Amino acid sequence: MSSEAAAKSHVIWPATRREFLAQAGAGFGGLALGSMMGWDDARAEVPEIDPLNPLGQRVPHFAPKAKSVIFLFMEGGPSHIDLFDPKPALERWSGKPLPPSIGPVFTPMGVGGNTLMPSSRKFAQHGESGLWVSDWYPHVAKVADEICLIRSCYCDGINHVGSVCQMNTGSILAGRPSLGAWVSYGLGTENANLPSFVVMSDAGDPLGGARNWGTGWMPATFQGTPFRRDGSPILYLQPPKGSDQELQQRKLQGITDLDRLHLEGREEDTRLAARIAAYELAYKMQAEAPETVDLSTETAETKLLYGLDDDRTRTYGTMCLRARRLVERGVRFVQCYSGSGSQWDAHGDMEENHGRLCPRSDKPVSALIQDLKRRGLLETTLVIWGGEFGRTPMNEKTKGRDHNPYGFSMFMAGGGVKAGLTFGATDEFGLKAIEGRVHVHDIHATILHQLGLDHKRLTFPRDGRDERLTVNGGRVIKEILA
Amino acid sequence: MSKMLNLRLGLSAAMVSALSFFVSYASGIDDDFHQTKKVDVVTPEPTWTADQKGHWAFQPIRRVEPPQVRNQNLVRNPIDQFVLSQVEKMGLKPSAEADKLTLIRRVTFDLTGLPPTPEEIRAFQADARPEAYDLLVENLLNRKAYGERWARWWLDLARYAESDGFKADVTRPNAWRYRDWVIGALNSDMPYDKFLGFQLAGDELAPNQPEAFIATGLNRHYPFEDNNMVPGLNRQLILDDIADTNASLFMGLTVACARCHDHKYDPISHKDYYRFQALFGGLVPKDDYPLGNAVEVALNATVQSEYEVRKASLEKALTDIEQPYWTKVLEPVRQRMSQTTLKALETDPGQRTDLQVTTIRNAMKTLKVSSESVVAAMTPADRERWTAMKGGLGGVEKMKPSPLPIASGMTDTGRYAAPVHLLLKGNFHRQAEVIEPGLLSVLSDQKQIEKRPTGHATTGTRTALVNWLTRPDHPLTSRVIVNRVWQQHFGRGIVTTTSDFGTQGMEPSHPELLDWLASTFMSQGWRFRDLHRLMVTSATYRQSSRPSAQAIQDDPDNMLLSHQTRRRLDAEMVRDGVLLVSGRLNSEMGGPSVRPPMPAGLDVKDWTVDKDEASHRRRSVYIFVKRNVKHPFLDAFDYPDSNLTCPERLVSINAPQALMLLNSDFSLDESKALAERLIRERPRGTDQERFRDLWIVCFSRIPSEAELARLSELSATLRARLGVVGRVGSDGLSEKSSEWRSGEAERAVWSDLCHVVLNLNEFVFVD
Repeated sequence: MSSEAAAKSHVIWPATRREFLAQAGAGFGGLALGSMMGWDDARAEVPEIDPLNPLGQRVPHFAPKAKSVIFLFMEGGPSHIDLFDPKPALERWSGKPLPPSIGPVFTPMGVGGNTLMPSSRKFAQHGESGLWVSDWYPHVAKVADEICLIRSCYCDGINHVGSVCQMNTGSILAGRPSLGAWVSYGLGTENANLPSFVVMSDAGDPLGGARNWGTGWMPATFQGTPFRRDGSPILYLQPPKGSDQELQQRKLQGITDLDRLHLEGREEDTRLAARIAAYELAYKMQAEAPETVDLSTETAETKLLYGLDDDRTRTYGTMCLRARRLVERGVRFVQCYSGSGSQWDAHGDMEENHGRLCPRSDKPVSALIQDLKRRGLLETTLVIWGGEFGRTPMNEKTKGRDHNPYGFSMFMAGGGVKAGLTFGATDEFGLKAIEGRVHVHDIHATILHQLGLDHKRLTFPRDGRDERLTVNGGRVIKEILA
Repeated sequence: MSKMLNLRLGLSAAMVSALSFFVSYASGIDDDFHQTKKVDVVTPEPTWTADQKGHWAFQPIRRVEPPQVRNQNLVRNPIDQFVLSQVEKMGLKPSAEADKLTLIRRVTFDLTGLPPTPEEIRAFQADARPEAYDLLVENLLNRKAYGERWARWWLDLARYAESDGFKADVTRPNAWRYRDWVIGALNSDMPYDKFLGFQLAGDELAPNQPEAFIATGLNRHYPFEDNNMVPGLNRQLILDDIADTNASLFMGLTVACARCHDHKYDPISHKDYYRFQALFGGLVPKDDYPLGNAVEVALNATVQSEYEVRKASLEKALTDIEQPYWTKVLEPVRQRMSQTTLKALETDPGQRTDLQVTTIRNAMKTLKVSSESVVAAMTPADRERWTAMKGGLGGVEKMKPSPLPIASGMTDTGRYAAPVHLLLKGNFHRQAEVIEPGLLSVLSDQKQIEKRPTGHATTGTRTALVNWLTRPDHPLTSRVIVNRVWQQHFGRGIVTTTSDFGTQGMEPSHPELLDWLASTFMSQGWRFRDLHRLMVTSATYRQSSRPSAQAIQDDPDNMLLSHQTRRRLDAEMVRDGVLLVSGRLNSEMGGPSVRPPMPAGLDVKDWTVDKDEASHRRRSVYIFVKRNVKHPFLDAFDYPDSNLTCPERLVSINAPQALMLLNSDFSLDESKALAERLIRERPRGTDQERFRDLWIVCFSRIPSEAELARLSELSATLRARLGVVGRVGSDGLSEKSSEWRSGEAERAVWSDLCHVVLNLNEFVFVD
C-alpha cells in the first residue's frame, strides 16, 4: 500500500509490526499484585511511535516547553470586568448606555441598549508584576507573578453551549475532536497505566456533555475519560461486587491464554495483539487510577493549602490536587470544570453569583500553582484559567451581566509562558477586545505550541481534508512566550 | 401619537418559533440588532478546465466486460474476474475458500448483524447441496433482522438522532418513525432511486403518502440550537447541514469546502455551493403530519377547525376588552422601556421574532407588568365580562380533539422559497447576491431550476434534484452507493474515502469493477438485495481471511483482495451478539425507542428508564439516540457522533472497551444468563459437552484440543477457588449428578467461564 494510502486511511493501524507480538500478552502471571505498586517502569522515557499502542508516546514536532496541561474551566462565563480587567471609565459612564459610536451590540438577552454598570469590586495591583486582580480572587492575587494574563480574548458563540464547545473543540458546532483529544493524538501519554486525558467537574456535566472531551471523527481511543468525584474514579474500573482481585486476575489470565491460542495463524493482524495489550492496560489501570485519586498520602499542609478543610473549597480543591497528582504521574491533559452546568452565568445578580462562585475556586487555583511550582512541575505544566466567554459591561436586570464573547480575560501559568505579564486590552468599557486580539484558535495554537506541536502540522484526514484543531485559523501568541 | 403597543404574545412559543424561522429571515435582517451587511458584490464564477472536468469520478460510468482470468475455476461471478485479474497480475495467489463454519458466521453477521444460532449452524453444515450457501444467503436477506442491521448503516450516514443536540437537547418524539421507515424500506427491498427520492422529496413525489412524508425525516435530523437568538441564523445553519450532508451522502462530494470560497481542490465554485443549498431553500420542519386513514384525518381536522374558530373568537373578544387597559398599564412605564422593547411591542404579535418575544417577556418581568395588572386595571363591569369569557375558554379547550399520531419531516413553505444568499467567507453576516437553486456546474449545465407554474404547493427544486441524481448517466449516485455497500462487505471501499469522490479522495483500486457494479446495480433496478447477493456470493467474499505469506509481504493492506479482511464487529453487533448468545435478545421490531438503564451515577436528562425490563434487551438500533449522551456501551465501541454524517465507523481498541466488557453490569448479567442457558439446555452435561456448546453458541465452531485443555484448567481453578471440589461427596451429591451440575456453585463457575468467553478477541472479531 502506498504511503499516501496509509496517510488517508482512517483506521489507526497503518502498518504491521511483528516485533510487537513479542511484547503483547506477556500475561498476567508476570503482574503479581506486589509489583503493581512500582509504576516507574510503565512510564517510558523514550518516545516511540507505536501503531499498536495508540497512546504510546510520540515525538513532538519540536522541543516542547510543557509536558502537560491543566485547563481550569470556569463554566458559564466569569466576568473579566470584575476579576482581572478593571474599567474605571465605567464609573463615569455608570447609568448611561454605550455611546452610539460603539454601534449596535448583540447579546443573547438583548442588553445592548442597557446602561453600563461599574464593578462593585475593589481592584489592586499585586506582586512585582503589578497584575490587577480584584478582591474576589485574593488567593490568586498571591500568585500574580506566576500569571500571564490575556485580556483580549474573543470567541464566536454568544450562547453557552456553542462557546463551551468552541473552547473545547475549536468550533461552536458539535462534531469535532476536543483539544485534549488532539493532544492525546499528537503526543500519546507518558503513563500508559492512566488515561492520557482526564476530565473532572464539580457538579454534573458541562453543557453539551461528552462532546466536550469527545473525539468527533477521530478514533475513540483519544477521548477524555471523566473521573468521578466519589468512589472509583473511572466508570466500570472495578467489578461491581462479589468479585475479588484474585478472581479478576484468573479470568484475565484465562482471556489472555485463550486469545493467544486464537492468535496462532493470525499473527499478521496487529489489532488482535493490541486488544490483548488493552486488557493488560485495563488491569494496570485498575490499580493505578484509585491510587492516583487517593489523597490520604498528602500532607496536612498540602490539604490545607488546597482548602480541603473548608466546605466551600473542598470539592474544587480536591479536583485541583488530583490534577496535580495526575500530571505528576504523566497524564497529558487534565480539565477541571468549576461551576459545571453554566453556574458562572451571572445574568441576574453579579454579587450573589460571583460572590458564591469565586471563593470556591480562588484558593484551589492558587494552591495548584503554588504546589506545582514548589515541586518543580510548573515549568512543564501549562495551567490555563478561563471560561467560554466573559460578561458585558452593560447591566442585565439591573444587577447582572449578559454574555460577552467580544472581549474577555483568560490566564495561563507555567509551561513556558511569560510570568507576570498582562497582554492585550479591551476597550474602555471592557466590551470588545481591541489590542492584541486573541481568538480561541490562537489560544489552542499556543497550547499545542507549548507542547511541541505545530497546530498546522497536527492533522487528521477526513473527507478529503486534512483537518486540524484550529480549523482554518490560529496563530501562536508569540508575545506571551517566555 | 405613539403606535399601538401589544403585549399579548399572541402565538404559542412553538408557533412563534416556527414562524420566525422563516418570516424573520424572509423579511430581512433587523439591522438594529445585528451587524448583518448586505454586501453588494457579484461573485465571479470560474470556468472549469478540461483537466478539472476530467476527474475520474465525473466521467460516465462505463459498462466494462469482465476481464478473462487464468484461474477461471476460481470464478463464481464477474466480481471475481475483476478482482482475480489484478491478483494474478501481481503474481499473488488468492486465499482458499473459508470453511463453512467461518462462512456462516461471517455472512450472518454481515447481513443480519447477529451471529448464527447453533440450529442454523447444524442445518447449514448438514446441507451438502452445492447451492447450500446461496440458499443460506437468500434466507438471511429475507429476514427482518436484515433491515435492522442495514438500517443502522444508513442511520449513521443520515446523522439520525432523536434529540436536537446543543444545550437543551430537546427530544424529537417522532423521529423514530424515520428509523422504522428505513428498516421497512430495506426489508421490502425498495429500489434505491425511490429510497433516495422519498428521503429528498417524498412530500413532492407522493404527496398523500404518509410513508413518503416520513422519509423526508432525513433532512429533519439536523442539529438545532433551540435558544439561538439570531434571527435567520438557525435557518442558515440548517441549510449548511442539509447541503453538506446530502452532497456527501448521495454524491460523495465535500461541498462544504466551497461554503467560504471556491473549493480549493475540486471544481465546485462558491456559487455552486449556494446553488446546491438553494435547492433546499424552501424547506421547513413539519412536526405535526397526521397519520391515519383519510376519514380519521378529515374528521379530526373538522373538529380541530371548529375548536380553533371558537377559541379564536373568544380570544379576540378577550383582547378587545384588554386592549385599552394594556395601553393604560404600559403608558406610565413607557419611559423605562428601551427602544428595543418598544419596537418589539409595536410589532404585530404574529410577526415577532424569537428575540422580540424574549425581549417582551423580560421587559414584562422587569417592569412588573403582567396579565394580572391588566385585569386589575379594568372597570368592574369589564372585569366581570372578561372573567366570564376566560371561563368559557376552559370549556372550549374541552372541545379540542385528541391528537392523531403524528410524524415529523420536511416540506416547503410554498411554491416560493425564501432567498438563499451567497455568503462571503461563509459568514452569515456578510450576505452577497441571492443565488437561485441549481445543480453543480461541473456536472450539469442546469445552473438554474425552472420555476414551477402556479398551482403547486412546493418549489419542486428537490424533485429536480432527485430526477438528476437518479439519471442513469449521473456519474456519482450509483458509484457512491455501491461503494458504500462494498465497504461494509469487504472492510474497505473500492474508493477508500467513501464520502469523498473528489480529487482529494482516493482513486478506486478497481475502477472497472466499480463501474460494472454501478451499472449492474442500475440495470437490475437499483435493488440492494441483488447487490448484497452479488457481493456475498462472490468467491472474493468467500475467501479465507488468512493471507498468504506473499500477500503479507506484497500487499499488506490487502488492496487487491487476495483474501478476505478480518473485521472488528460494530458496536451494535457486539451488544446484540451478547444478547443473542445469552438467549435474552428481545427481537420485537419497531416503535418508539427504548431507554435502557444508564450506568449508576450518570445523570442523563430526559432519560426515563423503560419500565418493561425486557425492552432493555432489544436490538441496539432501537435504543434512543440522544445527541448529547451516547449509550456508554456503544460509545466504547466507536458508535458515531450523530451531529455529522458518518460514512465509515472507526475501529479503535483501547482499555475502556476492556473495562466495559469486564466490569459492566450488562456484561456480567448476560454472562450469567449465558451460563444458565448452557446449564438449562444440558443439565447433566459434562464440562467437555458444555465447552462445545459454549463454543458453538459464541464462535460457531468446535473448540480445539488446546482450547479445551485451557478451559479445563480454568474451570478447575475456578472450582478450587470456590471450594466446590471439596464439597463433592460431603453434601451427598455425586459430581456427575444433574443436581450438582446445575447447582448454585456450578452456576457461579459457569458464569465466570462465560464471562471470560464474552471478553475474547474472537467474540468481537469475525474472520
